[in-house]
Amino acid sequence: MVRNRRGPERSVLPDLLAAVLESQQATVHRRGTAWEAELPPALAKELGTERVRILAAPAGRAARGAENDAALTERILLLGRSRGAVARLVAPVAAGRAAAGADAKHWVRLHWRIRYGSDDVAEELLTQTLPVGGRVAGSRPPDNAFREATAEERVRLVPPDPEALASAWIRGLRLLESRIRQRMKPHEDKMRRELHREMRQLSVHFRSLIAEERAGRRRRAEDREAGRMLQLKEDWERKLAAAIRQRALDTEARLVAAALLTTVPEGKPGKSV
Amino acid sequence: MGASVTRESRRGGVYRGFRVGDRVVHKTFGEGLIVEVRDRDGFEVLEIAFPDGIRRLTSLYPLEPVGSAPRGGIAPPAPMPVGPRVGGVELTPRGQFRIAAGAEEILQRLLVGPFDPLREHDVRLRAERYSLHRGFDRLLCVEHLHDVHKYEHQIQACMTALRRMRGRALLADEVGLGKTIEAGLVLKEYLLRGLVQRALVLVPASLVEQWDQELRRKFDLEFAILKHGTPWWEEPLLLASMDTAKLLRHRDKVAAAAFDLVIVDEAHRLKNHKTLAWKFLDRLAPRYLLLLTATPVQNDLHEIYNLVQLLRPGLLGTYRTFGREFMRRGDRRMPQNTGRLATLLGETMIRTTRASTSIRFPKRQVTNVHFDLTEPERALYDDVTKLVRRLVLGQRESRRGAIKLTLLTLQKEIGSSSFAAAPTLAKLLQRDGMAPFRADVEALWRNARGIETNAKFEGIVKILQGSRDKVVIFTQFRATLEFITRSLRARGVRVATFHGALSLREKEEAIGQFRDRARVLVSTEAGGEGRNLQFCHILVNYDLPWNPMRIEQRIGRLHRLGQEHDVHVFNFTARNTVEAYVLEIVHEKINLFRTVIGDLDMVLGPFAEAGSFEDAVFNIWSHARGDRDLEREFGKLGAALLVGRKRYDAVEDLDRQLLDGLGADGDGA
Repeated sequence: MVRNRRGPERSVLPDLLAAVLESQQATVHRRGTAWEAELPPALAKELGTERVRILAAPAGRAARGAENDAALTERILLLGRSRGAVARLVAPVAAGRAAAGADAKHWVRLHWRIRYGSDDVAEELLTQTLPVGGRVAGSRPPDNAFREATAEERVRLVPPDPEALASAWIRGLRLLESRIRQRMKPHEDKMRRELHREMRQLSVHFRSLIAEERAGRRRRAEDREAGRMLQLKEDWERKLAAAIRQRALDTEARLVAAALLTTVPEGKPGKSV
Repeated sequence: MGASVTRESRRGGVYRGFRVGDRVVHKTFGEGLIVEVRDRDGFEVLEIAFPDGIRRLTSLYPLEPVGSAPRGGIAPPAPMPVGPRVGGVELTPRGQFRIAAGAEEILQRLLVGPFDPLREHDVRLRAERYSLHRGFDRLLCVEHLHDVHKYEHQIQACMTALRRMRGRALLADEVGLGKTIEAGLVLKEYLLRGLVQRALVLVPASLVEQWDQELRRKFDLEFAILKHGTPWWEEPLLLASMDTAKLLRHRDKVAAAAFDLVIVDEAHRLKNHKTLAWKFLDRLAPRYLLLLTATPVQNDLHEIYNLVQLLRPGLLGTYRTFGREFMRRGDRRMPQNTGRLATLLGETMIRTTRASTSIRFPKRQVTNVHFDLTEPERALYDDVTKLVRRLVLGQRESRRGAIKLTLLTLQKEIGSSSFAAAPTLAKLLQRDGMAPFRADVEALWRNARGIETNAKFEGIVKILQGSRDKVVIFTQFRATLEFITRSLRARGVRVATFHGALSLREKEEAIGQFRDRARVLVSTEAGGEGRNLQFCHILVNYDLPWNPMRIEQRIGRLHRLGQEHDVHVFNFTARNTVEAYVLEIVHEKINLFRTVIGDLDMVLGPFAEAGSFEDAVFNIWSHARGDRDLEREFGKLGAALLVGRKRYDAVEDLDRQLLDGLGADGDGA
């Protein structure tokens, strides 16, 4: 697989499609600005074709779809989004430090895809990295220190404490909630302003009605005014609450992927600290 | 509800965890709905709608939550379809959102596996990220730009062109608001999304180089330039001057290349539907078309009709009905039915005005510094001028061209410094047919080598002493650059140098060095191309290019969107030199230094072609028989430019009045 020189964050469609196919055991060759992929039988059956040709303009990062076939492009992208949900990563740490420390240190990385209840806020992918266990001493090794755990390591590694994982999850949810609140706030404020304006207009209208009442009928105007004002406020309140509730309930967070990060002592693969 | 959760805030206050939508009871005001929760100085400040109005209270007031099922407030979040349970703890979210199904399975797998290969995991995350960018709701290209400050109006214009105008738009922003960036954004977005495979950019000849630089540096796009004798028609990304592209030998091939997107800069040149350029573009019929101009109307409203006709044929009716419906009888410039015209133009034209943005545009503060050359320098300058005149006049017309370029360069070099002129004098000595002048040239060469200072250099020293800010010094010649660098370093000034002989990496390093450490950047013309130096706001033109376009490019590196200070331009000229005359023309007549001119070609008129203004200056200088001649001829040249400048100003005013009056700005909405 030919990686984009400038790092994965700059990768675009052709590169990504090729990576998806390659991760599904397709044989991918890059020839200049084109990628040729020979699909294994299972994948060929899934995608309905035995070969895929992906083209990019000579500018390098300017993309075309797979064979200019938008539907196939979509199917490959969907394939990329259907697997690889859970990963186990380890970071070797110096044996001395490991010996000095006590238990294995775990972190959990959660990738949330958030669809907000407002069209004004774009959907986003939020990544949270949370320590598992009450207090994890020391700092987390840098991201590039983590690698995939080998099969042997996976067998030997101690799984995290379920209670601790549950606490990390709760903490993640709280952070997620705060994120959603923060993103929605400007839009809720806008809505509130609009409703305030509406209420003011209604109040003006109401006052003129009261004046008519006062002029036309000899009734206890204060009572009527108070009653109407209360009704007005309640209407406004109900409207605001309904709008906020609607937005709140329309916001959906989907956990699309997660990884368990663990430290292992350097030089002794497989034995957890 | 949240009121049962109490925790200490960072500043020692108390949070009771109230949320918008919670219902509470206050002993005085009764039952109310929380409509706002803010953190102020460590305390929770609540805005509560009580029956008698909205009140602002802190959560320290005696407030009691109303039950667990609030009336009229926000219902607790819907339970998760499958309540995740890890280690006996039910994992129910507290917040105002719901969690989609599938979380439990992922959590269980974190505990017991199975785990997926890292490669699949990475690919999944990349695919998820990619799939967030759907439609044109969010621009993919934004994160692929380099060294570009993105302004909201540019993003909006790009979105409007992509979404509402479906890639066929007239970008008519006022000068200086970044039409090029907007067009580049649209181009990059289409390329990234695979909707455009072949793109053609048509620009005036004088802007080909500038566009090439901008597309390369800012958008990472390698455009091939249309050149005769190369298989340019095979190139997916082609940059060409309109004049070259429409040539008989090229136009069929350009049309056959079937470009998906065509961008035309300075599109007001397509104002006349009877011209070859208009017909050529009409024949190209690309899927997407962007026309860029700040002045879509110059003399006649039919001009904008002709532009719109290229983008959306039929939108404004027929030529005749447009005239009848939208033009006042007897005045081709004045519209009528402006409301309807604005609505129609809004469907294909995007115009942002400076007034409609909150961007601060820095001013240009210009100081012309006139020097007296030292005696040896004066003698050398006059002798070189005499030699140039003798050589030009002494050659027959047919042979003059061969030596003219060398002499023109020599005359420019001696205006810069004696160091710049010495190598060219040495080359002249080796040239055939120079035997009659050999002794004179040799003497001049020796004199040039004998001069060790330059009168203008003291000017730099004064500027550096008068300010602590960074300074960019432009010169046209390497020898002058080296002299300035040497002299400044000898005085202990930290200097970075930038010139065409540096590799790409060295150039980046030089800019980085100037940004981070050096006080002064000494740069040749190569520094005037495409590099942003807006972190600095003092510019010294150590010598003055004879081409106004080059001067504008130099200033444009500092004076651009994003510059936070007024830009100070110091023009160094020695008295009684060509540069002094050029300065007078470009400064006094066309006021180049103080204002930004959108289409300099319009001002330059017949001198717009590459090199022709320099030629005109050189011809006047080399054929002059005395100061009177010089005054008269440069006066004529200045008058011609003044006419161009007035014409340009009038057009700009007209468009401002007309288009802003139509209200066809911003989103066109």
